[in-house]
Amino acid sequence: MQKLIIAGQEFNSRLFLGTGKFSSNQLMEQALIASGSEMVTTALRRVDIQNPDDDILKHINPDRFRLLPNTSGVRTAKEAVFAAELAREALQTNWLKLEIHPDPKYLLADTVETLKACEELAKKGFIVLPYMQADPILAKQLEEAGSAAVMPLGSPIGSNKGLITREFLQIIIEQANVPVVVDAGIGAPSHAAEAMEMGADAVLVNTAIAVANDPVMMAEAFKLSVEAGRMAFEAKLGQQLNTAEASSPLTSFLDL
Amino acid sequence: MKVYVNDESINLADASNITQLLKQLETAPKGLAVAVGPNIVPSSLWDEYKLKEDDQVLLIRATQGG
Repeated sequence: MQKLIIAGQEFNSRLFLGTGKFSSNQLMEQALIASGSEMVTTALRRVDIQNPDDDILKHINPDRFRLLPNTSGVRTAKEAVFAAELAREALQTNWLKLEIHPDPKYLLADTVETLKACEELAKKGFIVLPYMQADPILAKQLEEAGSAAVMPLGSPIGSNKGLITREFLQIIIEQANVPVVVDAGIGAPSHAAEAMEMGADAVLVNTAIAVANDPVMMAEAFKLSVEAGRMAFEAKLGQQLNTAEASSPLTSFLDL
Repeated sequence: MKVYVNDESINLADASNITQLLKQLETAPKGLAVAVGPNIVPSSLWDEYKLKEDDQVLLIRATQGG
């Protein structure tokens, strides 16, 4: 399998993991390891000064995982830039998952603010991976604004509905000059495999693994599906046809 | 003097710096970002950055998220 390269960094795994919604940090750590992932997202929060040492980073081995802090919780480009700078300071990385989704019901990305923030953050030296609507025009605009990859949604965050945007994802993949990471809504390994077969460069999965009965086994299932999907893409799928085409020879061997 | 840390009022010796504040709060400095008002204070400046009465200090660290 070809390696994934984002901003000059090589990744052996094409599965990125979110760290939200796990019932414990221990379980999260085991799932991260089982997934084979090399890039994991984190959010930012205010330190609880009554319990200041609750620290997720103790459970994410920096030799194994690159951290991708997100800007979840911001509503504007201005807030996103401030959050990005805090993230850079806290985690000592200029990698960033830019996400601006002011509406808590559907958590859809604010396109105008996302584009504005991407442009500014790229100028400030951040490696920006923006969460975005599955909009092919926007994907090109983000690319021109300096994004290191684009992360269109498959369906709303946490919905587990899979690739309801598939027609648009296909156009984004066809036109992209930066890696395309399908983010959000991937609810089953089959969804991840579908994205990879389609030619997505990677997928980001969180809820489907974190809320599974057995998150560690589900993480491994996703690992296998992403590898299978990518291998199928590289091996090239056969064309779809509207009529049958025999796989067996049609010799009439019973005709006497 | 009194400063606000994540909106909570904290009593602190006058002219304390950020390192001293974190020590008083028993907050591990690793993985932490600090802003005073709108300004992010990099860890290299925590020893020399003196806090003032009524400063609004924001302490941020990583948490679970997708």
